Amino acid sequence: MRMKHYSFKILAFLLIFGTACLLGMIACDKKAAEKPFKVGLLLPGSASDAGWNALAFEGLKAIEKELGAQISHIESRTPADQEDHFRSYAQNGYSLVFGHGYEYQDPAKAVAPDFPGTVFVTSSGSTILKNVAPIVFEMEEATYLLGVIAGMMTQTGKVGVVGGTNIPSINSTFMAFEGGVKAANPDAEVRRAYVGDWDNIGKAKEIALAQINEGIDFIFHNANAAGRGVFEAMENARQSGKDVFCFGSNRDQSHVSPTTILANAVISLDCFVRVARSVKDGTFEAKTLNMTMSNDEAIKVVYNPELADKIPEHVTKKVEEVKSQILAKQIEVPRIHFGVDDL
Amino acid sequence: MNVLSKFTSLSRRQILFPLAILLSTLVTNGIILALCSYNPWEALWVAIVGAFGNGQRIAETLIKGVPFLLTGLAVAFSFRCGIWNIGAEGQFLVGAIASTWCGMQIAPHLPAVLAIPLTLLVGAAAGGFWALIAALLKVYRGVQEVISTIMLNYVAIHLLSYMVDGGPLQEAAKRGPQSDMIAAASYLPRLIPHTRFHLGLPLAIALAIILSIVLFRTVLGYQIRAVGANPKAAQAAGISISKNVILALFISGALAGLGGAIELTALTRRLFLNFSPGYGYTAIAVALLAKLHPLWVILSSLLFGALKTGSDAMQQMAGISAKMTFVIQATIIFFVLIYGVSSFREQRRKLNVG
Repeated sequence: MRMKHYSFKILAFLLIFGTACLLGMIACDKKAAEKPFKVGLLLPGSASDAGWNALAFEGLKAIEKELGAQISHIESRTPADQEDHFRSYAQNGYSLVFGHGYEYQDPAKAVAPDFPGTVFVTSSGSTILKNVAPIVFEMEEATYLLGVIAGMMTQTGKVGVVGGTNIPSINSTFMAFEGGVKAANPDAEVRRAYVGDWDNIGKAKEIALAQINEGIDFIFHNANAAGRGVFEAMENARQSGKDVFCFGSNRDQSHVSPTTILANAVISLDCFVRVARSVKDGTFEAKTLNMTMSNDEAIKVVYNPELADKIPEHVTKKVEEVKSQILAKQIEVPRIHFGVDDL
Repeated sequence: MNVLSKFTSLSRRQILFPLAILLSTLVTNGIILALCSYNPWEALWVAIVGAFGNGQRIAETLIKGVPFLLTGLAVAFSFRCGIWNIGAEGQFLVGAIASTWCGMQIAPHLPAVLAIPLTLLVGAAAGGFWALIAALLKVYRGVQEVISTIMLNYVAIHLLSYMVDGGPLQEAAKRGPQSDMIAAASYLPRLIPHTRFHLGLPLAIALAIILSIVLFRTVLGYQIRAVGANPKAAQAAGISISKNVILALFISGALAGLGGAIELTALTRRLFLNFSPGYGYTAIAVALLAKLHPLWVILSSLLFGALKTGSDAMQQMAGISAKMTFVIQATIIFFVLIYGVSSFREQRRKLNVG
């Protein structure tokens, strides 16, 4: 009697499962008809982080606006999911899928051979296949300039950087920032700290407060959503009368904390549109897609208009001077060379 | 309805109640989605397509269920013995760490026939011994396993971040907080080309069947359930509490550890920071929904797998935000647990009366 009871339930379940499968398959058939230019995006965090992820999401929206593409995005946080997310976009006829991070190379490599009609672009990295290429945002030149600002303006001679996790693409921007600080002020000291993830605002705040207590008066963060913790710590410190400032990264974050952000190292949205346009036109070539300051200002420094008066004129002048020296290749910005160190 | 109930030997209540639950889940989620100006019909449709739309989607739903299945079995098994093992998360991670080590250090010197089972066994053993710490503390020092297993989760999480972020398992290139790939010999085979459907699922289902036989058809299972139902009565009847507690926690930990080993060798093939998105905690819901019966865990873990692929599809195909899909998942789990818990109580009531 007992066994019969169970077998009925299992039978009923299998029936439901089967119906669901059938329904799904019918629905799937219906959708395959039309063929617009579709662009997908895999994000390592929330699109509303006002930083790294928001940047790519805005890039995606720019692609929609300028190229009339049909767009979609998904939060794809763990490596166990990323391969599946790439695959399901490709299967649904997406021509271009961005994986917005270094960590999307393995899954792109695994999926790409099955879908020659889809281009997979990872943000930073060195993996190149027929339809896989990295878009490399060379933030280093811009973060070097931020370093120059910090180096010239620091009162205490101590400057801090706060990263999400200890990964090369982040460390490379820190190396450049430190280079800028030392170039402007050889005696200045730069402390590095990592949050351990990209979302923990509370922990980032604690780290920043600890740095401020050590006497650090300028902090550059590269920690995505967690970066807000740095801004909060800065706001607290400023309210208690300390003369401290910070910098925004990846996106113009001035509006996130208008009273504490002096300037930002910004990736222009046009980077994403350029790649999408080349895929749409069929001119896409699988090679490292470098986005640099000299490349039509794909990367640039944007000042916070609210705090423009806080930066002395000789500093902004110096920044312009260093910038032209970098563009003229007279200064070599310290950084990790991807594709060389990776081999 | 009468005919149906006669035919299936189910009471009218047993048929109507799940239908009511299903309906209220759909209506509640529909209202939430509509309030947030999404199209509920599209969301439902897309979720079904995403979870069951074609062979590839079904395969993905099935394999997304595997870590829930193994950790769910782990929780169900220990709960049956009255042991509240909240530590499946930690045991899962420790299993993954140990099999990464085995997959990198030992597997390269072995043929696949040996390397695969060895890597899985090492993972299972590590999970088992991790749980054993809590078992010994309970038996010899009276430490509540609820507390010790939760605490051991944190130890495991930090052990993992040490291992892959500057520790001995970090990749040689030191690029990021992850390990190198394990040796190809220890890859758990994927069975269907162009999908990730792997041997782990049949393996886990077989384990669920074996566990239900052990629990309900053997002396060992009887003793474990007796200790769970009433430890004092069991002891009076000559059943050793400590022996069964140790055994139940070891087996439970080994199941969770095996879950980590399978996830590693079949899917990710390398260890990385935040390896588990909380499987061990969700496992408690999986097990409760299954009324702590190993066979039902197969089905409830499948439901959780479908929730995952369905909500991914809602993001990818209907533009519903990730946060919103979590709200929907939570609502579904909430309603399903109402069903699970109330029918569990009904079953108990019947047992008491009859």
